[in-house]
Amino acid sequence: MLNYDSIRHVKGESIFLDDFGAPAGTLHGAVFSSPEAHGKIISLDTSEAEKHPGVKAVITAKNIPGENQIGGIIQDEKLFADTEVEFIGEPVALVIADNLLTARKAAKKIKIEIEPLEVITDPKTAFEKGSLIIKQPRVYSCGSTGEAWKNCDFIFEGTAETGGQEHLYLETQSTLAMPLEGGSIKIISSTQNPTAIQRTAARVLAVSDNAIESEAMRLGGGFGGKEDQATAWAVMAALGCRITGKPVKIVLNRQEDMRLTGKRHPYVSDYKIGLLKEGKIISYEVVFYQNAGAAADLSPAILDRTLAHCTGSYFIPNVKAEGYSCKTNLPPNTAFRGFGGPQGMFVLEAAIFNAAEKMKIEPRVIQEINLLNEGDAFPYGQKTEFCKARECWNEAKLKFGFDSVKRKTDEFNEANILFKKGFAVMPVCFGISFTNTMLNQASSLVHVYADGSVSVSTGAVEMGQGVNMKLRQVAAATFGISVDKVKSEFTNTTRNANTSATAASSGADMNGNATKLACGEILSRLKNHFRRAAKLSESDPVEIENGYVISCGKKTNVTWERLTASAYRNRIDLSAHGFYATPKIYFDPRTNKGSPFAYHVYGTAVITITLDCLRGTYEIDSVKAVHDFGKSINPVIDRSQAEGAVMQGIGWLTLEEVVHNEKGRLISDTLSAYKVPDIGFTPKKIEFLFLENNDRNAGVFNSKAIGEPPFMYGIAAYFALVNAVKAANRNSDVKISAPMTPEKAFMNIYGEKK
Amino acid sequence: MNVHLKFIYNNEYVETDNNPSVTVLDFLRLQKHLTGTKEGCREGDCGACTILVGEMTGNFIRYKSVNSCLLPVSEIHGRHVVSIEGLNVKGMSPFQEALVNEGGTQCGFCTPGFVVSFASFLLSTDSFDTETALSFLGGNLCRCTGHNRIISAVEKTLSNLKGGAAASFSERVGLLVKKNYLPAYFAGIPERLMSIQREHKIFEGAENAVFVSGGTDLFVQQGDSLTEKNVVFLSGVLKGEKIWIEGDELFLSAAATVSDLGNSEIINKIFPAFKDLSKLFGSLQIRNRATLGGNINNASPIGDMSVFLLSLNTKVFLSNGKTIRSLYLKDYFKDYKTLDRNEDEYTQKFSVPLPRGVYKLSFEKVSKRTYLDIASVNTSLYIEYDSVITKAGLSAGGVAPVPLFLKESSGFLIGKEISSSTLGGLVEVALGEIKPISDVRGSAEYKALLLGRLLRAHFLKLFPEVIKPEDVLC
Repeated sequence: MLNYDSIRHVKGESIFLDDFGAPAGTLHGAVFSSPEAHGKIISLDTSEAEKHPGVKAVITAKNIPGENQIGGIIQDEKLFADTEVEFIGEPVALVIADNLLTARKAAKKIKIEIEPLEVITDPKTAFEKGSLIIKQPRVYSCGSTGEAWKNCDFIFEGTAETGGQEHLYLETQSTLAMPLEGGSIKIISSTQNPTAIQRTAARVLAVSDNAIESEAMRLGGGFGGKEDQATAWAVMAALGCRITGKPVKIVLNRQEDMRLTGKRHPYVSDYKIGLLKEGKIISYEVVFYQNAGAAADLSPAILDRTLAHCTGSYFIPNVKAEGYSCKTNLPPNTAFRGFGGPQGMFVLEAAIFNAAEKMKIEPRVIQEINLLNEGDAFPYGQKTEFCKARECWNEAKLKFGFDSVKRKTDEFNEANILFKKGFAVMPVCFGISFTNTMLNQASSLVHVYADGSVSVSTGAVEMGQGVNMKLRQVAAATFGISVDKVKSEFTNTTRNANTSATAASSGADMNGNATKLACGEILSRLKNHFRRAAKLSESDPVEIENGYVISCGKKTNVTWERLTASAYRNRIDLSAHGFYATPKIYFDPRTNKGSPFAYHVYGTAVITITLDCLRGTYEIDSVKAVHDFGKSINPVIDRSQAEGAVMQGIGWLTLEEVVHNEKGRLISDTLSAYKVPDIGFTPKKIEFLFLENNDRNAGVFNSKAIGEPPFMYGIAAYFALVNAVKAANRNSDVKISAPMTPEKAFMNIYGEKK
Repeated sequence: MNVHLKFIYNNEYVETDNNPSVTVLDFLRLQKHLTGTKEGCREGDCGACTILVGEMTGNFIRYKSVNSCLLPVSEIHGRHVVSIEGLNVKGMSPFQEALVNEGGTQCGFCTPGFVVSFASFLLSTDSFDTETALSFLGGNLCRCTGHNRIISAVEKTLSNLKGGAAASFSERVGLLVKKNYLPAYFAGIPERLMSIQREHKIFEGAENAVFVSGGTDLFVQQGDSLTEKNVVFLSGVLKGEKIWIEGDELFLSAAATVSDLGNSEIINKIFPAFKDLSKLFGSLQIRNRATLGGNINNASPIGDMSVFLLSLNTKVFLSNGKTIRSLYLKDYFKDYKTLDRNEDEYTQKFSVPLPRGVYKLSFEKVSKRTYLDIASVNTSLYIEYDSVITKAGLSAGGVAPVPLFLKESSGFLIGKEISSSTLGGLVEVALGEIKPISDVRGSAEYKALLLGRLLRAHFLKLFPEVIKPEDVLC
């Protein structure tokens, strides 16, 4: 089964927000943002901008009819700064003009005077100064690390750092707000979370939620960057629309998008790991200092997932994981594929790497001994069910031959001076569900039209992950008809209320299950209608297969279309609303115990790289993984997702370097300065073996979520590079600080020891 | 000030009065409402806006892929412009189908750009092999798939395109139309294009003129304001030969693009290494537009062509429309982004002394990403030698406020033998000549150490019989 959306993509016929024909008279907004990272606003002068020909309005905090507040989890983020600025790029005003160029030009005429305050960009510095998003630490623990240290043969401590990551969705943040009658406003935007926009716009405009109709078209990539951070622009456009009475469009250009929006959270983490001689980890303590930026955004939730995934794919009996969300003067960092999980897992892999080196064994010996088994408990209390950690590992070991990879790498390094190879193995276990149990709900509104065509509306936003196609497949399979009959609609809050963000890899699972329920309801009405018409009894089996009614096991000549037309004529309700709340999950945020995940996804990858020792540059030779796809309902989509995720993970740990200067200014603010993997950086070989299984789980038709889990295989690329650097220079004392850019690889070989 | 433009876009002939500095991207999206061409970055780094520009060369059309976000509309006068809409056939082309089958598209935003770049490969390649095909896609970025599925689609497509590229343009177009890669109207374009005359202007001086050559940097830096300036497009001024030999000098027009150099038989004969090393300069889309004149006058301290030409003892010729003067390129760069150029002058051409006797050339560039990236450090070394080195030119970028000619290092090499001790001495002298700074492309310490290694890389590459791997890693 292909992804039918792709057919429009390859012809350039898919419509993204900026392609959408905006109504005549649409005005354009340009954001004026803070040039300073921290300070008091002494004065703000917009008069010159207002006088600029073509300018219709300049909007600041004082024009807000409702609350100047867009914070989701914590109310700590203003739409427009009014008294103080806390990061460079913090919106201060919106200029609205006839066209975008005019708006941008006028925005440059705004004058702001700021009395500078101390700028903090480093999370540990923020922690030491008490600059925290939430004062209390978050702590996940199990067993007793205090007791356990006594029993350890080895104890090692260290620090590990991971950097930020720019989402670089190819379509920048964009939104269009249009006035409707009676003060209502329709907002169309490139967002993963139309409901957040609806609620926030209502709050800022001081109207009720039902006055805002929020819609998401397809997204040109999201990756978490449009979960919370699409909201500000949409709300600004709505405010502009309210004030001017005209449609207002805001499309950030690339540099604005990079400067104004938050990224993956950088972390600095201190760990202490205790092991027995053979490599069994019995105690692990870790403190995470999360660089949250200037406002909470989703940081607390992201920190929770860091803590939940701090033991990765391993069972550790005694754990104490502590997390601080540190407030710095950077744009609020936000959701990004993995949602804190990668940062948590990286630290444990660093600890294992460090321990293995000191114990003179290979990291994979420690990794293998400690893999999760069926029934093992995570620090948050949940026990593994249908655990695939060992199965994936063993399959990978068998298919890819870890020992022969090791032998070949050693042989190569023995024979070559100018180039060195390195490899590393990375097992992944990732929990599926929003960590905030409340968000694990979804609805689906299904209409069957009299001609037999089907429309499915859910909260799932299509951003390349193929959820539209998967929903069509779910509806088609439930009805027993061809997917051609089914259309997935854009998410619109008037059709689907109280939607959760399309995030946490759970879009297809939750919205698919809701769709299944809604379709099931209509199907049962249709079957009963057929029974009545054919004068069958209630217990006579009626099915629909391949578009035909099967009655008592026999194919009839009644087509789906004939059945739906007949049902319509007989006044049968051909619409249904399905509601799905992920069952059995719960979590107590006071004790940090519970069973927060519907299920876990497992896998093991091995990555091999080649380092050019003279230049510090490197290539990825191969990425090979055995991945637990469950019963994939669309292998074409899932394979592409898996490969894309792992490449994004590799990018995070290798080339992608978010750089701020000491004043808090982003200096990697263009695509010429921020490099993501390109076609030339593609590994020579990528191999994903599907560990197919039909285990019961909460995924739709026993499929499994795919968006995030493979991202973390990229961690192997980092440690493969460390191994190659050490092969190039035995004495190199590599500081564990991702990404391993060519500069860092080079300096680890040649730099003076510090 | 509008100009009158005539061109064909897709299958439609257009005559329009337009501001010449409006980008083709804006022309297509805002004026023609063709939205398949996407804006991803407006700096030529993502390729989502890739289009084809076809130009009559003899009696066939040479199509090149370019970034429409950096292409002023005046540059398509008399040309055939093709966007994704103009490539679509009934159903899907085999490549489009392969992208769908292999999962080579997810969100779909970058996809039209890939399809257009692949079409440029089909129209201009000499061989239908994967490596060449991928070199045409190097300027296109996909954030969703990680590219491997796209590569897979390319491989699947090529496996059905056996028999190699046809020789003549019309045969090739015929084949591509027959196999449903191109719509049939392509066959008739040469005839239609031939009827559009492209007039050249002669430049006679202008007040406050902004000279635009390829525009691949100027439109990144000043795209918003160029529509309001008095822009002189040098493509209308610098006509004629791009690359020629006169006496014992090689001449390069300032309007020669990096692609022109890479495809030049003269360059390939004199500097056979150039074609491959030029793949490290920008992307294909950029190389198709970026000119020597533009790259040098941009004065970036890490300009690839600047560093390359500096090592060759190049002279630059400046004209103000009336008089012409020349000076050595190494003297042209005065300070950070400061040139020995008067406001009314534009660069006309460059001259490079033809190599004599035994000579070698090496160019090294290290950037975060190998392709389509700006160097942390780049360096070029040119050497003539018999028993000892008789002539040497060493240059480096990223180690000073200007693209640097390493005068002392170059002098140091004269009279020296090729040996590891010469190399050791060279590194020492070179490190004394540079003043790198820390910035987004690396720390000062890194750049200095890196240049040291790259000088060793030059020698290792050029003289493997004398310099051994052990000598360069010490």
